Amino acid sequence: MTPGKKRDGGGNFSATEIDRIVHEPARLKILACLAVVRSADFLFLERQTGLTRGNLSSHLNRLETAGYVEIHKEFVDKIPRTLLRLTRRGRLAFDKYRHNMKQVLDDRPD
Amino acid sequence: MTDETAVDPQQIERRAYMAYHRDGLWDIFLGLIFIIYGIMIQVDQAAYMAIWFVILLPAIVKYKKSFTQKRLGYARFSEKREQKEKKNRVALTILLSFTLALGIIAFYAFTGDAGWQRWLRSLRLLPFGGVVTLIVAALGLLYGMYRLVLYAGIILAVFLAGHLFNADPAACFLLPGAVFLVVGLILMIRFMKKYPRSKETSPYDAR
Repeated sequence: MTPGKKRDGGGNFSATEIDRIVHEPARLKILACLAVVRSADFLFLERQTGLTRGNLSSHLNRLETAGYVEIHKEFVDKIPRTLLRLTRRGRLAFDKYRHNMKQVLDDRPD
Repeated sequence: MTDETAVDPQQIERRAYMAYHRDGLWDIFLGLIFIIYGIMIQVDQAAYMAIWFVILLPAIVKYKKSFTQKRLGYARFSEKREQKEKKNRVALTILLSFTLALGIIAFYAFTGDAGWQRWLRSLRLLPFGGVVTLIVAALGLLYGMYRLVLYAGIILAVFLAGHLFNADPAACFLLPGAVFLVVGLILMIRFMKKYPRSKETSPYDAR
């Protein structure tokens, strides 16, 4: 997906500019969950999204490959935890997706 | 999660945060405190009531971490949420200090026979009920746990009725305590069914 906002001849936003990685419903749920927390573990995402472990794992791999999500380890109450968080790029992609979708819906004819 | 709510961050954040308070543990804590207080009054050991609060509170906080986090997962919420939590803690500290001051005044009501002391004694458990109502309602409003506001209403109603009908003071504690305990146990069972403890480790732990 091209990051820049493009409009067609009629001034409307082109739907082809929607980020396909974010647009997939399961990944959108994951990104939406990670967008509202600083970081979260796998179980938290599993509970909040309602996805199966395999499904969640596969979508997280896709998001990680795209550079939208990163994994880091930290100690919480002296226990090592593997946490996931949005990268700056992932946050920008999510915010842009929301903005673009709002525009697509706002521009539709009545 | 429905697709309509999937991209509403505020709603997602609130829902995720509130899930941690739907485990019924605070309801059980409140229920146990009330029941223990009722029993202490019954056996004429009311002076030691506060000890149970000091024993049970850290125990429930510690248990909540292992019980709830192992079922719901762990998340570090936004800075905005953490700031709100800090403000809530300050507000609660002020409220508890105020309660302590009232407790000291109540203690002095039993040390003399001045007019105000006799008047305060004539109110029996009503001031105590009023203060507990205030604390429980404030907790509910600060943390968005609106069932606690309902609990505060129950406490006030029971203490008022107890005062008007000259009821046994122990009953004023035991009755709401039983209600809170039962509600807490129901919430806990529902929570355990909805979020069973995960035996599998995260696929990312091995990395």
